[in-house]
Amino acid sequence: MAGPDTSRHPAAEAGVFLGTFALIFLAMGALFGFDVFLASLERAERRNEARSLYEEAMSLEARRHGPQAVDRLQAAVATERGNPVYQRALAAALLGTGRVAEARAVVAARLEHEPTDGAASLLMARALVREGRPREAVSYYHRAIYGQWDDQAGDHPVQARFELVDLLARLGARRELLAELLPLQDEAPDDQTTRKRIAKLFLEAGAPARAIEIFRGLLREHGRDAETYAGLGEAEIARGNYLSARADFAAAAGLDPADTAVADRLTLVRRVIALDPTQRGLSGEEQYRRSVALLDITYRSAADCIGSAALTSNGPLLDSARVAIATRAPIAGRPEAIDANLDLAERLWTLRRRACPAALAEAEEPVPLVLERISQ
Amino acid sequence: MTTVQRILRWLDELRRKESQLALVLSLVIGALVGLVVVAFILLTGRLAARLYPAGGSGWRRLLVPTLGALITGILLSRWFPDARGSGVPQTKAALFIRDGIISFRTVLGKFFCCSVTLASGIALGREGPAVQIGAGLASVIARRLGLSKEYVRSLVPVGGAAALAAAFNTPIAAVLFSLEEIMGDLHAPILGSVVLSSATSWMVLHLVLGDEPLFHVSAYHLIHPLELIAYAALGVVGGLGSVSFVKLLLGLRRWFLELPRATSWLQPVAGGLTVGVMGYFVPQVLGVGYSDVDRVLAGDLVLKVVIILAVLKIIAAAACYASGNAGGIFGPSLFIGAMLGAAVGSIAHLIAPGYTAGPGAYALVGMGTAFAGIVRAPLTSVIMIFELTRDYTIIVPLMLSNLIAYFISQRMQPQPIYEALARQDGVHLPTGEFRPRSARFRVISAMRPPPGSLPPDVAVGEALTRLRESTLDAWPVIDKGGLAGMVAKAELEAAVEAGRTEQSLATLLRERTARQGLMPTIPVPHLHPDHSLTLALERLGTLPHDVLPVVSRENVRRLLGVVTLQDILKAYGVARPARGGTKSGRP
Repeated sequence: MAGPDTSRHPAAEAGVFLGTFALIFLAMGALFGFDVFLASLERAERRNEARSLYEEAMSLEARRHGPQAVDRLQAAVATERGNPVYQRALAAALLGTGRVAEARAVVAARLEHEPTDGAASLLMARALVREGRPREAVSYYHRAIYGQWDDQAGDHPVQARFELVDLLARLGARRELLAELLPLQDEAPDDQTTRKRIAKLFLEAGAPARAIEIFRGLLREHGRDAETYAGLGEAEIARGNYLSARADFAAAAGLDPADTAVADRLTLVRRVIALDPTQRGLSGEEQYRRSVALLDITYRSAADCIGSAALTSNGPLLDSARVAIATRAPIAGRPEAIDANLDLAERLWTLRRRACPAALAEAEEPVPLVLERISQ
Repeated sequence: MTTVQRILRWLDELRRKESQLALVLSLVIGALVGLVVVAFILLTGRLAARLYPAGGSGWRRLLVPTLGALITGILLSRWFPDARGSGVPQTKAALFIRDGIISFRTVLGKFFCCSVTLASGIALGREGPAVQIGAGLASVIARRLGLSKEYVRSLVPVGGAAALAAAFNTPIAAVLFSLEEIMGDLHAPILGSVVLSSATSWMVLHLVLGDEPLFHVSAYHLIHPLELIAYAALGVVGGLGSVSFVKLLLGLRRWFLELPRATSWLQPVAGGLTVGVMGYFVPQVLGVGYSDVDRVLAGDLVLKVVIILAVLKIIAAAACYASGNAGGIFGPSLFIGAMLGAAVGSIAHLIAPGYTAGPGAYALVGMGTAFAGIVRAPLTSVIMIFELTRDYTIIVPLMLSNLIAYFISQRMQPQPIYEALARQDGVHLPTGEFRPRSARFRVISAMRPPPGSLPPDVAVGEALTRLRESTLDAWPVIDKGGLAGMVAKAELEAAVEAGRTEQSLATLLRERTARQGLMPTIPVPHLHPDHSLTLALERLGTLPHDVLPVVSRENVRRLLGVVTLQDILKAYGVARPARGGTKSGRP
């Protein structure tokens, strides 16, 4: 302590000196006890008040009174600051009422305090998705998956990963989707519904072989099921196995005749098989006939789509197609003619898809599947 | 030698070495004051929650402050007269005038009276009283342990800083406040002790109450450089708001002080009733209002509400303080600033939403702005907000706004509020510029005892006769209240020439005071013993005579002596021969 230079002074009597210090420390001890007692009383009261507000909010939320629930939860958070349950409930309620920015602010405050909070990270990810920032949301989904959860025994990380894969599927990020599905396949519960969901997601990720494996496993373990057959059929379509797909959809339709979607897919597969010139066991004549039919459909579709305006620039291609359709090739030159027809059909289809990415007419539906098979 | 013996020997050594003892006491005082202030905060908070709970009836909000003010009014006037008001001017008065002496009775009185006052919803703050409680405890302990006057004085700001650190949860701002406002000297040599006690007290606060900030503030930052215009506007509004508050408070207080002393026990009821009536309709006016500050910082209150709250709080706090309730203006300053800031912020955001932050950011800056304008501690206010937010990015707008408010406040209300309050009580606190660095060239080293006195009813002619026999060319006029003024030989001679020989000195002084437009109760010009001789020379230079009265800071009508030009020159070692008359100065 800087002060006057008086190292010696008329000191207090030793008894007074020690007595004063003893009194001070006694007072400090008593005050500490008093303070701690008052503080604990206050904390307990605040906790009770906050819990009561929280319970009221949950009840309001159950009755779909979102804005009132938000009010109670805000009061609960203000009453017992730092309670993660109330903070997360508030953020969720704010998200539920569309107050996304406020929800994000609440969760951000929580994450600033506890960056590994899995539930808060998941809420942040949801808020970011709602704000149209899916790429930022992905990293929060990862923090949610690998973060800390109050209930470590629960399946929250798996649910978070499901939300993430759904997002990635919506974004069309097939590679990232596949990367998330591989661990999910091991982590997820082994029930039929979850496995079906994962198999469908594998399909979306461009991994039909894994989807087929799961569907077949399900059929082995759980017996015949229309939905599983339908999923398997879709996976077989993705792999270009239309005959297998037809059998699967037929099985699905047999099990659930009322399912019109399955019936439609079965019809489509049948039409694909009927149009596909690369099917095994077809005669040369049949192959040629189908190649012409395929070319005819693609030509009509392209001509209708492009219209007169673009005819000039694409004239030679359309002329070639028209000639190929109108002229019957000699038997000796059929294999070359088939190849030429298929090549023309592919080019015309590419042209058509660029010019008119709109939905296909019913007659055109088999074309992309057939061309896909041919390209394989 | 056993451990106990070693401890006793160390304690005995400590007892004899004052500098070491004072250092140890800085820690002890920090801890003790921290515990006392935490008890004070918890006690007032819990009592307030029971006396006027949220959602309680309007009648309760009307009656509780009125009754609380009545109880404290009786306590203050009967038993604890020194516990009235904020505590900061009282602490400064103790430090500079009473050798750091604050009685234990005052500490107790401040604790209990403020607990009752604040718990009953009186719109005043707890920080100022906490400062006096902390400083008082430091003073009591230091004197009890037999420390010298210098060390007792040096421990007073140490206790004050510890109290503020615990009351406001801002240890650095507490250190600065102690140096900037209480000591009036940022280079004070007690910095180390103040830091120690502040840090200790803050640790105690956190030990008991946890790591919970006083206000919960989002991270705000400057949205666009053009936003500084809005912050400058906030500086202007904050400055004008500060001046309005200070002038209203001082004006009302002057009015209350002029009422008969016998009514002093009843006067606080006027403040209690004012805040009670307001609280009946607008509950947020009651108490220190930090929960509403928290809400406005989060941007939760709408424009109309913040304007109403700012106006009502200015009136309520001014009325409560001026009527003599126990409580500080630190808290109300922050409340007023937050509301004014939120109002400016809301308007700015309405006009230019893309260029400005939300009202919460302005409320935050407004707190510092009002503090700079009202308390006039600009550096403390900047650091305080920085400590509250722990965010550096708001500092530039804060500094701009603070400086504007400080400048406006200084121009429109030259005397800082704590000095003005002390002056209303007849206590002249030394300002920083008049605080001499060297004891050698203080007035006390040159002053001489009073030469005798002239009663005010003596006739001009007789007074001139007596003055002609003196070595001094001016004499004090003393009435039953003390020093009434000074009369100079030349002035008396002019009066005699004008044929006013039989007129009394009282009439002469009254006419002069009226002519100069001065307050009749303050004999000017005068000096205090701790003034510098340079100032004495400056003041003598403005007078037609060579004598200045030296009066007490505690009571400016108590004459302690006089100082002459000759005395000053002698102190500087350049004395000239006396101009005649008797050496004693007696006629």
